[in-house]
Amino acid sequence: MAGRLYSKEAYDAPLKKDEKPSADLAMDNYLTFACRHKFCREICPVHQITRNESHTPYGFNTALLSVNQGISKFEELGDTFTHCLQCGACEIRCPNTLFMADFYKTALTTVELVRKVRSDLVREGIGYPGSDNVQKEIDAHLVTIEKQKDMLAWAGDLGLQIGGESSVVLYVSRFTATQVSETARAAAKLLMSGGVKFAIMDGVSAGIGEALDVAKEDLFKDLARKDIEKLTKMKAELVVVVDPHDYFFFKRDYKRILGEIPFKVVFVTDILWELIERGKLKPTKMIQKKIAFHDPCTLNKLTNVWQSPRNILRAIPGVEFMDEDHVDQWYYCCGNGVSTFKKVRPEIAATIGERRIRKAKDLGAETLALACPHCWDHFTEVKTNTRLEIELLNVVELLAQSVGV
Amino acid sequence: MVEGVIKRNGRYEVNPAIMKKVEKSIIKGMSEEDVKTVIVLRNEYLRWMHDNFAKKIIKPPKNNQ
Repeated sequence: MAGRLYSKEAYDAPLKKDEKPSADLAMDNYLTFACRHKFCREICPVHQITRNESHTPYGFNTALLSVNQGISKFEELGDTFTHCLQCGACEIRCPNTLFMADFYKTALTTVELVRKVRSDLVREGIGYPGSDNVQKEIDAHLVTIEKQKDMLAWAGDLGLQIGGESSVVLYVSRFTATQVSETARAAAKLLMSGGVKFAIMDGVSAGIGEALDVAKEDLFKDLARKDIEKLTKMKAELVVVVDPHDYFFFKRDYKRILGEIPFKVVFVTDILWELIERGKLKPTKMIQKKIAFHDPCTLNKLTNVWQSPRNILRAIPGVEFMDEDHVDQWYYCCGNGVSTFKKVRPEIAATIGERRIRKAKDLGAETLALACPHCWDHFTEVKTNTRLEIELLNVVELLAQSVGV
Repeated sequence: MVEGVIKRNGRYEVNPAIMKKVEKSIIKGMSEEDVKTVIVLRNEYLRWMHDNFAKKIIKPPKNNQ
C-alpha cells in the first residue's frame, strides 16, 4: 500500500504522446464511460456553472478512452482536465464508490486521475492552460519556506516553544503562516487557554499540493518527508493541523505515498471542540450574529470532518447558527479548488465563489464562518470584486473572540 | 418481494445489510481507513436521502398528464 502515488495500478504508467494508453487504464475509463448514472454531473460545482459534460468524471474518462480508441489525441486533453476543482464531490456521490460491489466493480478516483493527466501533460512538454501560473506558485512557496523569519512571524509575541521536543505540535504551513496568520494566532491562543502544552516547528516545508499537478511528485514527497522527519525528531505524538488542505495530505496522500505516519494527526476544530467538551475552554462572550458555515471540501468531502466546526458554532452564546446540511454542501465549493483550479480557471472559480456567498446571503446570514484559509482568501477576493456584503471569519477566530483570548 | 429489498416507512428500499459487504477487488489500492470513510459517507448519504425525499412523493405537474 505505501509507496504508491496513485491508488489504482492502472494510473501508474505515464501517458505519452503518440502512445496508446494502457488497456488497464482504458478498462478503468470504460467502467465510468459505460456508467449512465451520471450523478457525478449535477454534484460537480464546475458543471453547475459550465453545463459542459466534458467537465465531469464522465467526460474525463470518456476523453481518455477516446485517446485509447484513436479518436482523439493525448495532446488535446489539457482543456478538459483543467475543469476540475479536485474537491472530491463526484467520488463520494458516485454510486460505484458509495455502494461498492453493486455496480461496475470500481470506485471513482477523480482527484488522482486529474493529477495524473495534468502531470503527464507537463512531463511530455505539452502543459495545459495556466500551468505556468501553477509553477510560479510552487516557486513562491519554495522561496518563502526558506525565510524562517517570515514563516514564524505569525507567532510574534505569543511566547511559543519553537522546535525542541514536544508531544503536541501545532502545524502551521506557509499559506496560513504568511497569508492568514490571525487564524494561526487564534488557534495557538486557544490551545494555550485550554491548558495544552505544545510547540511549533522551527520551519514547515510542505503544503504545496500544486506539485502533484505539474509532474513534481518528488518535490511533494521530499517536502512532506522533511516535515514528518522533523515532527518525529520533536517526538510529536499529536499534530494539530490548521490548514485543512494539509490535513487532507496527511490523512490521504502522505500515508499512501510515504507509509504509516508515526504520530496522530488531528484537525484544529476537532481538538478545540474536545477542549470545550472537557470544560477546558469556555466560550462565554456573546457573539450576536446570524452565521452560516461553509464546509471546506478537504474536510467535508475528502476527509469527512464536518461535525466539530458546527459544534463549536452552536456552543458560542448569541450565535444564530443557520446550518446547511453537510451533505447538501457536497454540491458546494468556494471555487478555489484543492490545488491548481483558481490558477488555471480564475473566471469559473470566481463565479463558483459568488454563487456560494449568495447562498449564504439568501439564508439571511451576516457572517459566513469558514474553516479553511484558502476559502477565506478566495471568498475575500470574490467579495471585493462583487461588492457582496458578508463577513468572512474562521470558526477558530470566532471561538477565540467568545473565549476572550 | 425481490431478494434484498425491504419495506421501511411503507416504502421499498434495498436492504442496507447487503451493502455491508465490501468486495476486495474494488478496494485494491484503497487503505482500510479510506474504505471505512466510504462506508460512513454511504450512511450519511442514505440519511440525507431519507431526510429529504423519503417522506413525500413528488407527483408530475398536471400539464404533463
